[in-house]
Parts: sequence; C-alpha cells; structure tokens
Amino acid sequence: MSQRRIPAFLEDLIATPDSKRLVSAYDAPAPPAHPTPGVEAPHNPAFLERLMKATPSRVATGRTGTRYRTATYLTLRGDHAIAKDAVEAEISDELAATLDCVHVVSRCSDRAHYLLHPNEGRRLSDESRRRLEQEGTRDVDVQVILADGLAAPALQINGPRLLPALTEALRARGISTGRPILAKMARVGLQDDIGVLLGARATVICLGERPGLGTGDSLSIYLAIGPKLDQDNAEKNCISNIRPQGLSPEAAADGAADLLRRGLDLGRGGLDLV
Amino acid sequence: MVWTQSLHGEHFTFSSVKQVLARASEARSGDEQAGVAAASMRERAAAKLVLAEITLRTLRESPSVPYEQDEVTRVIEDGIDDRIFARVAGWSVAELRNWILDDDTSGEDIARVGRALPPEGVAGLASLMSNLDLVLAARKLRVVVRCNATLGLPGRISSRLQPNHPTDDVAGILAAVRDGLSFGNGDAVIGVNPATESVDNVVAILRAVKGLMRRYLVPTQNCVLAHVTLQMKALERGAPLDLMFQSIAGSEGANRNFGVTVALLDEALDMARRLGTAKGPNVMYFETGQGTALSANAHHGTDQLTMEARAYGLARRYEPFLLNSVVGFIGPEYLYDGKQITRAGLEDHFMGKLSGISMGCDACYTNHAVADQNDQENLEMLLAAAGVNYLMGIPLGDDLMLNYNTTSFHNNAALRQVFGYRPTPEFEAWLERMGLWRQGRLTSKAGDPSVFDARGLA
Repeated sequence: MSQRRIPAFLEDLIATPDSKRLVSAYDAPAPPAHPTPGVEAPHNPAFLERLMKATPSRVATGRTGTRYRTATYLTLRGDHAIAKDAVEAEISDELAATLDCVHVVSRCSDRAHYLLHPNEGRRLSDESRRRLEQEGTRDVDVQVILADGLAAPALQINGPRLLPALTEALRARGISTGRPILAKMARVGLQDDIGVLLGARATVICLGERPGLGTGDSLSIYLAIGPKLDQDNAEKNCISNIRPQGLSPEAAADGAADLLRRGLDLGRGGLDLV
Repeated sequence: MVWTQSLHGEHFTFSSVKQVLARASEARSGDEQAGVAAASMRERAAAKLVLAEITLRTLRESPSVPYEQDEVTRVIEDGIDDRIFARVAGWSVAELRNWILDDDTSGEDIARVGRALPPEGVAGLASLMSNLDLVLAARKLRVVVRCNATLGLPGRISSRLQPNHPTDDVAGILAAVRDGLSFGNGDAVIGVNPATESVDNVVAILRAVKGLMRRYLVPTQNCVLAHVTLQMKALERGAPLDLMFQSIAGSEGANRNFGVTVALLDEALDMARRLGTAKGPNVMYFETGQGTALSANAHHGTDQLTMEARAYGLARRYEPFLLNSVVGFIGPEYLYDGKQITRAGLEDHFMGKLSGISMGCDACYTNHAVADQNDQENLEMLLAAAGVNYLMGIPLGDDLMLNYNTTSFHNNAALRQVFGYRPTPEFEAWLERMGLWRQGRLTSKAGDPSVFDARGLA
C-alpha cells in the first residue's frame, strides 16, 4: 500500500502553524445535510421535504432508470475519497513539530501492517520504549497521548486545539499531566502499554476514528483509569465525534477532565462513571 | 494422523485435519493473523491435494472443537441424519465436488446430502472450488422459507430494508423505510439495528415499523436487531415482532462472547413462535461472519472458513427465515481487500445454502478495507448470479449509524433489472397494487418516498 501523506487539500486547510486557518476549518458553515431532492415531480413535495428533514440518511435522491443520478454518483465518489484518503494519511511533520510532545511509534512498520495487525498497534516499538523511558514524565496523574488511529486528519484538524484545552482543563482540576506523547500507527490499546511503562495513574488517548462516508475528521478520546495491559474496553470511557460539525475540542476537553477527576477519585472508570 | 504431499518435487507435511483445512483455505488476512494460513501458494496447493483425498467420514470424526467441550459441535453432530450420511461417508471431498458440479445431479439431490454434511466437509468442499464453481453450485440450490411471505423461489431476489438512524429517531427510521419501499426494497424484512440497546427502544421501533406495515398492508416481516434477550422482553410486553434476531458464531466460546447459548436460542425460538406476530413457520434471523470466532479468541486454532461453516451447522437447528454473513464488516485484519471479501461472500453463500439455510449476504465493506464501490457491486452481481435469497438495502448504501457501506436501494432494483428477477410473489402483488411495479419492472412512480404520505396511495 502506498504511504501517502495528508492530502493536499487538507494540508491547505490545516497543516500550517497559522492557527487562524485552523479555526476556519471549524467555523466554516456546515454543508447542507439535505441537498435538493433528486425525485422528479414528487407526489407530495411538502411531505418529501419532511421525510428528508427526518433523517441524515441519503433518502429521496431520485434515479435515472434504476441507477443513481450523475450528481448523486459523483457526490458519493467524493465522500468515499475523503474517507479512503483519511485512512492512508499520516501525521504531518509540520504538526509533529508544532506540538511539544515525545514522539513514539507502535510496532507497526507501515499503514498496511497497521491495518492487518491490530495487536502490533497496541504495543510500543523497542526504540520508542527506550525513548519514553528517557524523555517521558513518570508517575503523573494523567498521561495525555495524541495519535493518528484510523484517520490522521482527525488529529491534524482537532489536535492543535484539543491539546492546550485538555492540558488547561486538567490543570484547573488539580490533575498533573507531564509531557504529552504523539504516537503514530496507534490503536486505542497503546495507551495501556504507555500507561504501564510510565506508571501513570490514568491515560487518555485522542485518536482518529474509522472514517464513515464523507467523514475523515472525527476524533475520539479514550480514558483509562489504573492502566494495565489489554485493559477491557468496558473499563474505559469514550468521548467521540470531536470534529468541526460535532463536538468542539474545548467541550470535549472539559468533559474528559470531569470524567478523569471523578475516575481518579473513585479509582476506576467505565460504566461506574456514566 | 500425518499426511505428506509432494508438489513439484517439494514435500509438505500436515499433522491434523484442522491443519489441512486451514492450509487449504484461500488466502485471507484473518488466517494469517491467527497463524494458521499456508506459508506459500505451494503449501496451499499441496494442502488442497491432501484435502481432496480425505473422506467425509474422517472429516466428521475430526470436529474442529471436541464434542465434549463445545455445544456447537454437539448440536451439529447430534443433528446429522446417519442414514443420509451413510450414503456419502466413504466419499472423498474430491468425489463430493465432482458429484455436486455434475449436470446430472439436481439441486434436490444436493440439498438432501447437504443437510447431513459436517461443517468441516462443507468448508473443505468450498476450498476445492473456484469462484465460478461456488456460483454454479449455489445456483442449483433453492432454499424456500415462509414467514409472512415466501422467500427463495427461483427467479426472485429480495432485500432487507435497513433503515438505521444514528439516534433511533422513529420518524427518521420510517422516512428511510418509505424510501426503500418506493424502490421495491424490503421484501425479506424491514430490519433495524438500534443505536441504543434497550427494551423501550426495541418496543418503540417494532411498533413504529409494524404500524406502517399495517397502514399500507405491506406483506413483509419486521425485526429489531438487538440482543435476543431484549427482543424476548419486548415480546412479553406485547410488542409486534415477526422475526427474532441474533448474531451467532461457530463455537460455544464465541457465542458466549455474544451472550448466547443454545438453550437461550431454543427459548427465543419458542417464544417467537408463541408470542410473535408472524405466520411462520420460519421466524428466526441470524447474522454471522468470517473472523467472528477469532476476534473473540474462541476459534480453537481453526481457520475462519471452517468456523463460519460451523455457525451454519448451528443455525440450521432453528430453520431460520434469514441468515446473512456480514462479510466485509469485520475489517481488513480478517478480510483485507475486495478480492478476499468477494471470495468470502461467495463461500459463505454456498456453504450456507448447502447446509440448508435461506441465505442472504450483507455484501459490504468498511472504509479502512482495501475495497471500493466497484468491488461492492461486483460481489452483488456475483451473488445475484448465484441465486442469493436477499441482500441489504440502504439509502445509497451508506449506513450512517454503523459507519460502513452496503447494498443500496438502487442496486437492488438494478440487479432485478439486469437478471430479470422479481420480488417475493406477495410483495410483487403488493407493489403492483401500489402502482410502483408493472410487468416485471418499476413504474415512473417508484423511487418517490412521498407516495407513502398520510393520504395513502391510489
């Protein structure tokens, strides 16, 4: 599989250190959830409009014969392209340089390896392990990890706002953090390996979710109290849908910090915190 | 037992039936992840040569998980009709393949034998077949089942209307139902995956979909794909439920991961027949998928094709109205690309039908698999050629709730057009009454969900 970087159109939008352009990705008006109906001469136009408003699904797109109308087909292709490119993208050097993090990588050698062997994405490479032992902060309350996951653009877009917001939200609640970590080719479970290695009381990993059609920018935060290797997901908490058209990084940071405060006080996470 | 096979001067050794089956299976990422796949094409070819000479008796005597340890093995073994099996016990897998593909062997002949085959024999057979073999053999087989309507008749193809909504909003679900019905979709079932698993939610969705079915007299089945225990509670509350759904897999451990046992499934079937709204007798709906057992770490060192065949061996106990593998949903670590997904879809369809099951397929892919819309449509066309009972049906194939891509309303309509197939007879008559279908094709009114407005149709 080819090793592609962030597609050019996304770099334009987000990869400059100029945070104004980044903000513009968030402030851009959401595209209409419901483009004009494709149904020609509908039986009941007002009712059709109500149906389209009732669901984000792509209903009432019309047809030519039994096939999609050309505009529909090309929209689908574009939406699929965003998702596919997001899966293959990598965290840009520019972003990595902007964020003051310890850089680590999982045991995966490339994106194809990463997709084929999820377990390898849950463990640090030997070199990263050594680096973290030297450069990482030990025994903090919460170790913050930023990662690519299945969509690096999600971190590119949301990460630069999420990291300071999260650091500040944790500090405001009296939670110590230490130096954050930027992880490549990471699965959620990498937080367990890192947490155990550094002796953190808890970890959060912020990483890109598997893209849906038309979305390559959705970030999730996974919280784990009391790190242990291969900790069950049921013992973790997740805040998802952090993206320009979803939850803002600031709101997500506050939500995560609240959960972490309660989790640290309680000594466990998962269902007990919900 | 140990088998040695030479191929072009090279010698390969296999130490168990399990190993022969795994090494003979076509390449797929899940088997490589599990460390059971052939190390080379040569080893795979050698394993196929060994497998071809193994008898069905030996395969039956070598269950992938021991009888004493696993209730799925017990259900399968105890369900085999010994008189039928005796006829083929001495056949090698090669002989079985030759017999099935012979023009003089009818679908009825194959179906009779198929119901008495152990899953290790079914999976082994599939590994000795090419994609076209799988299509041709499956096409001979018809599995006809009845619930409120009749599924699986020759010359017909159906669809599960899957009107999922990210927050289970009932109006949103019904909007997608109307859209699908207007394209002639939904004759297999209107089946909703709930975003939130709760009894209240299951009851609300069942009532809403049934309400629309009753208002327009739609001859189909409703279903909410929540855990079986929630559907049972919904039935006890008097919810109108036609089909009882559950995800299942090929070992007791993998089913435990789903929170089900044979006893629970038996109880669910009994309750669906007693309290459900369907005419029946076929009232169960199962989903399966290659890699499920491995992902639950309950594969017992068995390859994923064989584990999938075992899931069908379990399913046939319940004479389901529907069973589909969700073939591309599990992700690239189990089925890497369009080629592997296509192969698995054709294998699953053939193996299920041979096991006596009314087979559909969720021909699908996730956006992190190496597959695209063209791979998707290719598999749909191949399955239609193979005589699949049903595919999924979603607006433009984009499931916003489950985040994956499957068959669209349009594609189901196009497949009927390409292959000259029609809906179930009951549904076809209904579509004609609604003015959406005439003389084997959609009318100009079709594709307009607003025909199902409060005023109803002419």
